This record gives sequence, C-alpha cells and structure tokens, in this order.
Amino acid sequence: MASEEHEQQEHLASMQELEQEDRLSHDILLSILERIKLREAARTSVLSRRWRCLFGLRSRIIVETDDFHSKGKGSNVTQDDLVQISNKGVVEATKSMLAPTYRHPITQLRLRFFLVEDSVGIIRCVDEAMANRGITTLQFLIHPEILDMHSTEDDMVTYGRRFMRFLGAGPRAFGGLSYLFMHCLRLGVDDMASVLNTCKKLDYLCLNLCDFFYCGTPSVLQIDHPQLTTLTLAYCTFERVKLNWLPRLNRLNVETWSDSQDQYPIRFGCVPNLSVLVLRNRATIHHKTIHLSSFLSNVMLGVLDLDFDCKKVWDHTSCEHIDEERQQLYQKESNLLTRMAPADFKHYNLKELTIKGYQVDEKFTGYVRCVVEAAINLEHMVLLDSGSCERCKFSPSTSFPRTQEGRELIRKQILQWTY
Amino acid sequence: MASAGSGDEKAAAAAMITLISSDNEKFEVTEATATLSQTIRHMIEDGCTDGGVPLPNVTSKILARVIEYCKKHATAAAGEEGSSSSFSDAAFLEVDRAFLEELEEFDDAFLEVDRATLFDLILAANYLDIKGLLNLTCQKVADSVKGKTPEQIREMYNIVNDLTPEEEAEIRRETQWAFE
Repeated sequence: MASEEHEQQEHLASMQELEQEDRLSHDILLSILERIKLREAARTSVLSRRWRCLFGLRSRIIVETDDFHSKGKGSNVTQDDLVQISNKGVVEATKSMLAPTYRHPITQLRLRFFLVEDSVGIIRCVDEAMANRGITTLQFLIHPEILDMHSTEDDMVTYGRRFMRFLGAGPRAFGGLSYLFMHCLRLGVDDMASVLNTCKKLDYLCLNLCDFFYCGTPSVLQIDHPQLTTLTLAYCTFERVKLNWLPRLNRLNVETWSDSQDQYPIRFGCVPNLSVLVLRNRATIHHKTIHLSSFLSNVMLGVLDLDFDCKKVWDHTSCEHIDEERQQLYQKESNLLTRMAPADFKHYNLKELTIKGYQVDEKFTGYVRCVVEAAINLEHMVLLDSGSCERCKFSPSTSFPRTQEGRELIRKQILQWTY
Repeated sequence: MASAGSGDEKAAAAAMITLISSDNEKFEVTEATATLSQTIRHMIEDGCTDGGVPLPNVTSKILARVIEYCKKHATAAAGEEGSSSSFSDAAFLEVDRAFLEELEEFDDAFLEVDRATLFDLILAANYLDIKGLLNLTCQKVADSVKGKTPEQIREMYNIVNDLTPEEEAEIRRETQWAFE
C-alpha cells in the first residue's frame, strides 16, 4: 500500500514537471538555447519535435574554431591537424546552419575560421545566405593556419593573396559584413583599398599583426570609409596611417607601431566623431617622442588612454637584455609625456584619462597636474601600475605607491589641483 | 550632500508600492525595488498603482523571492550610481570588489532552488520584465544541460521524445558535426 502511494506521488511529481517544460514559452526556451554553445545546442534538436523546431529558430549563430577543438584531441594530433579538423567543423556547421531549409532571419552571424583554402566554402555559403536570409550583423574573424609567431613573411604574403581571393569569391558576404578581424597577413596598398571598398557596411575593423608593403618597403596606409566607427591597429607594420575620411569613426586603438624618429604613426584627416583614442606602445628608443598637443592638434577627444608599458618588442625576446638597458628605455619612454600647452589652455572634451605605468615622479605628477588644470570637465582619472614582464619579472615602474596611505595622499594632491 | 539626505527620505516616504500576489498576499516595497521590473515601472509612469498592483500570475511564495532579489539588486544599482559620477571618488578608481563578490554570492545562493521553483522564477521574471533575474535564471538552466547527452537532458526535464527513430536518425545525420 505504502509503495503504491509512493509510486503515485512520484508519478504526480513527474507529471507536474512535465507541465513545466511546456509552460516555458518558445521565446524563453530560445533565450536559454542561445546561451548554450553551438554544438551542444545542436544536439538538443534530437530531444523532441519542439526542440528541433526551436533550434531552427536560433537567431544568433556563433561558430568558433574552438568549438571543434575537442574533436581533435589525441596523442598524435599536430597543430596542423587541429587546424584542419576544427576548420572542417566550422565549414560543416556553417553549411548546415545556413541550409536553405531554414528561412528564419538571423540577427547575428559570427564566424571564426582559419585562412585555409577550404574556408572558401564558408564564404560562398554566407554569400548565398545574404540573399535569402536576412542577416543583420555579420562578423568574420579570420586567423592564419600557422601560429602567428611561426608565420614567415612568405606565409603572410600567401595569406594576403588568399584573403583577396576570398574577397572576390563573396562580394555579397563582404559587402554586408559589419565586423572584420584580420590576423597576420600582408596586403598591398591597393588591396587594402579594395577591402575597404568592398566591405561598405563595415562598422568595426581590427588589423592584428598585418603588414602593408609596397615594393618591399612599408607603405602609407590610407583609410577612407563611410561607416567605420571602431578601428584597431595592433602590431601592424606600415610607414604611417592616414585617416583621410572617416566621418563616423568614434574609437581608435593603436597598439605598438613601427618605430620612426621622423614622424608620428598616424595622420588625422577628417575624423569629426573621433572621441576615444587609445595609444599603447611597447616603445623602443627608436620611436619618436610624442608631443600630444602637436600630435593631436586637429582632433577633439573625450577619452585618452595612454599605456607606457616597457616591453621592447611584442614577443618578449627583449628579456635577454640586461636590466640597465631596459631601465634606460623606460626613462626614454616616460619622456614621451611632454607638455606643450600654453598656460591658459583649457580642454573641454577630455572626460577620462588612464595612465598605465604611473610613478611617483616629477614627470608624472607634473603631467597629471597639467591635465587636471587644463581639462576642466575631467571626470575619471585612473593611474595604474605597469605589469611586470611575465618571463623575466622585470617591473619598470618601481615607485608606484604601494600603500593605501600613499595612494590616498596622491588622490588628495590631485584633487587640490582641480579647484 | 546634506540636501540629498532629506530628499531621499521624502522620496522614500512617498514612494511605497503595494504588490498583490495571485493568492492575495500584499507586499509593501519601495519604488526603487519595484522599478527593477519594467512592467511595474511602466504602471507607475502611467499612474495606475493606487490601491496596489495585482500580479495574478505570481504566487506569494515566488513573489517573496522575486522581491528579495530586487531589494538586493536595487541597493547595488544605487551604490553604482553614487560612486561613478563624481571625480572625487575616481582619482584612484577603487572598484568595490567586496560588494560585487557579495552580490555574486547572493545570486549563487538565490539559485539554490528546486527545478519547479526555478521555472516559476523564470516565468515571473519574464512576466514582470526583470532583465537581470531572467538572465540569471535562464543561464542556470543553460548551465544545467552543459555536457549532458540528449538522453540525460530528456530525463532531467521530462521531455517526451515524439520523434520517430527515422526522424531522429535524419537529424543526427544533418547535424553530424555536433555529435562526432
């Protein structure tokens, strides 16, 4: 009798739970489904008819090479195999998700893949989908097949050519692209012009470790684009970047540019909406000293973020250098903080200033005072310690205030200057 | 700052809202707590909260939990607003890590409920349009199926498989990239 009652209760409880899954609307289940990574989410399509239908309604499709890494696990798998396996996964997943049987509009399609020949399948497939599925936000993140640190100049030239072929293979896809991350390829000046010309709707462009060469020497990169709002150039090689006409550009990040004693890395043309500038340079003594007032003479900034971290080159090979030399580099670097403003100069737009690698030192306090007094609408100031080099543990900023009291003292001092 | 104190008191005294659960229990909450719900915010803006806000879709047991969540997060929101707007607090930007951690701990403990309650909370968060709570609870369900086979998920959520074996085989073929 008791066990029968128990069974009945159990049955009742499971009936209640059964109702619950049904109680959740399509929208709620979709929002749950979209939080699950693609491969696991795809497996839910065999749960039941309802779930099969739900998976087809997925409006945010994010396919990453990482999703397929686990497929390549094993003792004998090389990096090359891993690239091939995970890229094949991305190609298959993209084809199946964009199959013509699905008609539901896509709000976001984000694809991360390797720049290998097979990936042209992705481009063609997206190119077709642009016509019959409304894709609101299309994002490509393209990586080299060889780890960037192992890529040779020849590899970069090959990747550059391959990329240009992809561009030709999917004019509709690239024409609708709003986000592009390019990694480790060499392009000629004309190539870059046609990339910008084809990708008319581009909103975000990030060039990472890309080279721009003409006849064997770094060339001037000219950028004109009607839509671009965010541009990031990290570890790129160019003679100079000319921002000719970027009417909507709001944010510019430039990280570690080629050294030149003669000129600034960027020339600002028509950039009326530029308000956030982030400059990060693991500079060397060969870099030109930046006088911010002349460098930024024709732009109106709201946020300026400076990072004067002392790392000579990006791959940390400088760790072999002796400390004295690094110390010397650092001294040179902090000299980059040079102020040239007239005494009664007032800056109305600057709202936020971040300095990484701050030290209690006349150079810094003097600079900060100058900014605080001039930038009358400044709201935030963030002073950060510089990180130490992961390999050699060298920490360039030796006199960052370590104690709460020390920091409080500086805070009070800075506040005094504001009145 | 001196005037802000009396202003707060005045506002607090004037802005209490009564929420009425489906089983007719009444809950008095501040406007700041109640307006984490967009649904209630709109009702306040339209001036239709006199005499209490009836919530026929939410039981008192669930409403009590939802209010507990809103109270905690309304305090958090007020704290954030207060600290970021003035330059004096930002010279050395000291993010209040302890408070954020406390909030995370609160959320984790808040989610320690049985599946039936979790579903009720999702429905309430959806109906009341409380974005943070809906995110939190949906994420909990999403996390619960991570690493599970379809069979295990069916068992967990009592989902009846109404696909024929042929249909299931076909789906598995089409989405082979997900199963390998």
